[in-house]
Amino acid sequence: MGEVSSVGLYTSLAPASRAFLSKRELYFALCDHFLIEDGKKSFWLEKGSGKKCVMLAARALWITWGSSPEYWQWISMPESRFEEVAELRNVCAFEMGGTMNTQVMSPGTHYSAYFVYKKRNRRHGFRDLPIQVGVGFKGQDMPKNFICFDVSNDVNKQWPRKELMKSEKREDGWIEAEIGDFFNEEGCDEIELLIVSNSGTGFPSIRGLQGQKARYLRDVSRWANDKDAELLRLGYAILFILISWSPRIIVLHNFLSSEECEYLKAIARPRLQVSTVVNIKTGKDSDTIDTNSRMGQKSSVESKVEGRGGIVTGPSPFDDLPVECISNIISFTSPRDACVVASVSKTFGSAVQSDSVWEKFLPLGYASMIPQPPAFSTKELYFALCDHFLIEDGKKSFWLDKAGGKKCIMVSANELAITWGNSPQHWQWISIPESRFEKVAELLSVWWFEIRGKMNTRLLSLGTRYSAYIVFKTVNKCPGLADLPVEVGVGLVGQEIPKQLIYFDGYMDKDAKKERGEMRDVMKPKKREDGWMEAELGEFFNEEGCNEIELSVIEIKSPYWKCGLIIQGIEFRPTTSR
Amino acid sequence: MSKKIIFESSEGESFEVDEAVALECQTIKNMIEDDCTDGGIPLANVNSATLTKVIDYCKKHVEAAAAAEANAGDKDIYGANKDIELKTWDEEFVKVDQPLLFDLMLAANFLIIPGLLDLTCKTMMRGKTVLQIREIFHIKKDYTDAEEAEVRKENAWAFE
Repeated sequence: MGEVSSVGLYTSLAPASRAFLSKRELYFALCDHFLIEDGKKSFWLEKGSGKKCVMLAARALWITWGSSPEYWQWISMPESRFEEVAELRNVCAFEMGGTMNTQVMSPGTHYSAYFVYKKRNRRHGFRDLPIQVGVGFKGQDMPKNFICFDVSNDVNKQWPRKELMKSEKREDGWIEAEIGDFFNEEGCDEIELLIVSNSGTGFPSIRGLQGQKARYLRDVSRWANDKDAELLRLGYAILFILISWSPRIIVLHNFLSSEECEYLKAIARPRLQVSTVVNIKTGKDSDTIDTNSRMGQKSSVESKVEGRGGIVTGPSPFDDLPVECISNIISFTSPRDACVVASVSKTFGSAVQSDSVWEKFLPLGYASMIPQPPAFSTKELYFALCDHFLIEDGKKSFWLDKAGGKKCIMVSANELAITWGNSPQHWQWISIPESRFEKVAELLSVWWFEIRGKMNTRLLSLGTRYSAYIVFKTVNKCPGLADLPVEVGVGLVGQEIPKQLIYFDGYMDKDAKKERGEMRDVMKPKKREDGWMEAELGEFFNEEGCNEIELSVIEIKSPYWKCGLIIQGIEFRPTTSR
Repeated sequence: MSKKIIFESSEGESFEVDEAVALECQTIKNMIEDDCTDGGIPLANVNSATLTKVIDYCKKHVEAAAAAEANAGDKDIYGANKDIELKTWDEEFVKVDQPLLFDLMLAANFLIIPGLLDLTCKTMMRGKTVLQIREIFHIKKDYTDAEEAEVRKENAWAFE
């Protein structure tokens, strides 16, 4: 553990304590939900609008019989964002509710509340059972709605289905049922929630509704039903119709309302005068055609006509504005609009990067919402560093070998020199969730299989023997490569590099064995804890004075096409003594 | 009789307004406080058409604020209605062509009228597509196709 004594150096690497580089980064970090108030609530920002969203844990609600284990039990589920969810075992009175302070949420915003749950099996007694739900301000009448956890196809059921609130499957695999909505304005401070089944079905008919997870309050204001947008008549379609190419006449339908035209005409009329017209062919003035007398509008309207798709005529009003001003303008819009306009031009792109834009999008007092890293003791810091995290723009993954405190590195496949790696018919770069890097290399088909790499050993611990491993997966037992001995090697640059042989699969059918004979000196791959496979390339001793190592993985002897290999990278970790 | 303030547009036209209306502009408010408004305030970068609109806006908002104050005692649904009425008025107010809207934005920025600045910026940008913005403001696409694709990819969620 001696290596971690210089805490300051590592603080900058620890993911939990990483300072957010920009307000933009911070904004997107806050768009990922995280727990607040001792894990009783989950908090995040709706990406498109920057509005605050909250999910209340089931633990934060009152549930009738909730603390009797024979009726409700509290379990942990990996797919829940909370530590515990409530599982209904068997209950007659299905009742729960809660209150919440609305100061956690954005003011001046229309919110919907959703009940988020899962069903475990079909025999649960909720079939066609209306559940009364509601949300409203404390001390006011609560509007009542109905939801149903399991609607049958039985048309004879008396239950009027039309009145049921919408319920649908969520992206995270849970189901949500809307229980109501409310407008959160200044001065409101507490809302109440209620979910009851008052039809008194017989005990023990309700069974197996799992994970009464939480009440979920989410902002529903989207651009589509944004009142501002509607009021401001934003986003209405302008239709272009080309009447004539020369002279260029294009009719813009819907461009201005008739009132707007009247207004423009009114301000233009006192300034009308005969214009000079240039003849395209001769380039000379010709004042014989009086266009303006019939147009009645200023040229500002026509000058917009040719601007489609980047062919721009005339100066842009933005040309004279410094980029800070454009940032300022963008900061009045929304995060979604900002990310859209980033594509307009380079100036807009850099204007959107500005902290001043994202400072405005972050909710007030956001500093207190940032998940605070626990005050690091040196020990805590050590264990934080034992979890791998990306460094150098995601090109390498870094962690400490928990047992020895030695530095470990995985170099992403992207950092390796892969022959034919840039031609998509041979290798393709894909993203898969189980990789720690953004991209991994998938071998589609090559004959010449060659991977080489170099790494600076400054990143590794001194005085330590390291082994290098290639970390991979096979697809369909990687035909053409699986049972071929592949020549690998790793060593210090400038020295002779010892070579050895590995198999990517090690699978070999009996006939092949007979034909070629078992090769005893070929290393077989091992399964890793993270689900990937690894094969050792070799060892080297990292001491003062070494500065670069090189490695290679080569198979160019076999005449067959090879495919079906996914390479995550090359891992360097201390050699375990045998 | 309230004090009058005289604005002079870039064309040299004079506009007389109540002091209360002029106070809506933070810049003018500072000038009034510093007592340097005698003989009119020349606004060399605001033209007459824009200034007319700016004054309209300030007048309306002064009236609305006064009305809200008068009703402050009996706070009821009328308060809310007034808000909606003012919003509707605002939305009608910015139904102008882009050059005028742009000038209004610059004037709001220069004169420091936060409400008008917010309104004009939102109107110009919100809910527009990349093409629409390039088109409306004559902005040249200086990204290469690859660069643009990269930026779009980075912000892909916003286009969903």
